[in-house]
Amino acid sequence: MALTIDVVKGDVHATLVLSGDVDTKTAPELLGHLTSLELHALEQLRLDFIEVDFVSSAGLRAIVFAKQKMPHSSRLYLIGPSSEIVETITKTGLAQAVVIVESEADI
Amino acid sequence: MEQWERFIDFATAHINRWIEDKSRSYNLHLAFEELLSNIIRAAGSAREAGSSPVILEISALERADNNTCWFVLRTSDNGVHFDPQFESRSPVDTEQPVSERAIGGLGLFLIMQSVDQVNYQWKEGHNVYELSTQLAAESSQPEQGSAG
Repeated sequence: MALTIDVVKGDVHATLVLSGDVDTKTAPELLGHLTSLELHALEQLRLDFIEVDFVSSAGLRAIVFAKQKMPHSSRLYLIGPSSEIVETITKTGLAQAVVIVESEADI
Repeated sequence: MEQWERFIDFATAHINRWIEDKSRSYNLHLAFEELLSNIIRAAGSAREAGSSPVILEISALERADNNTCWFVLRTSDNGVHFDPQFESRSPVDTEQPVSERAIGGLGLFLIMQSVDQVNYQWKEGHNVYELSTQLAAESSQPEQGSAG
């Protein structure tokens, strides 16, 4: 399934709203959007996963890339990932690096 | 990558047909995606180095042993011999801080974590992988299929 990404930029935070699959074929699009952000200056990065059906290791690597470029004190929120995606994030040990919330209102 | 969708669609159709449980279905899809990605990446590297095009064949089948039924996705490719050594492979250190994480190794780790059995054989000049998920006892018996 194709991936669409809408980006909303603020001064110290950014939100990416994703829809579709983040797999080997589409993860470079996510990485491209992340690379275009001033990650080192962000206090918050919000990735809206409510409409994401699938995330492979390529998608996880993009998340790791973003977290490694962001300030240590920053927060990376994953909004509304499915239980299957949360399971994948948990078993790879990446849950320590992100804050998982059900909706943007929980931030 | 030109055949990517074809292989994914083939596997997805059979996974959805055989495995009702959403979590197990998702995990097998994940393992297959990671495996296919590795095979295609290796084939691309070999082709850049001047090797012949790699032929990849995928099969979906049911296997029964000792009263246990399995749904199996099997891949066979004539690319460079690559043994992932699933049995002796060191697990990813999931406790390691993300700031210190290396990028590689997640794909093979996810394959091992996402299916009930994973097997690799080098057989008659082919890398043969099998991803097996145990079927519920009441599963029906759809026809076998293959793509390549």
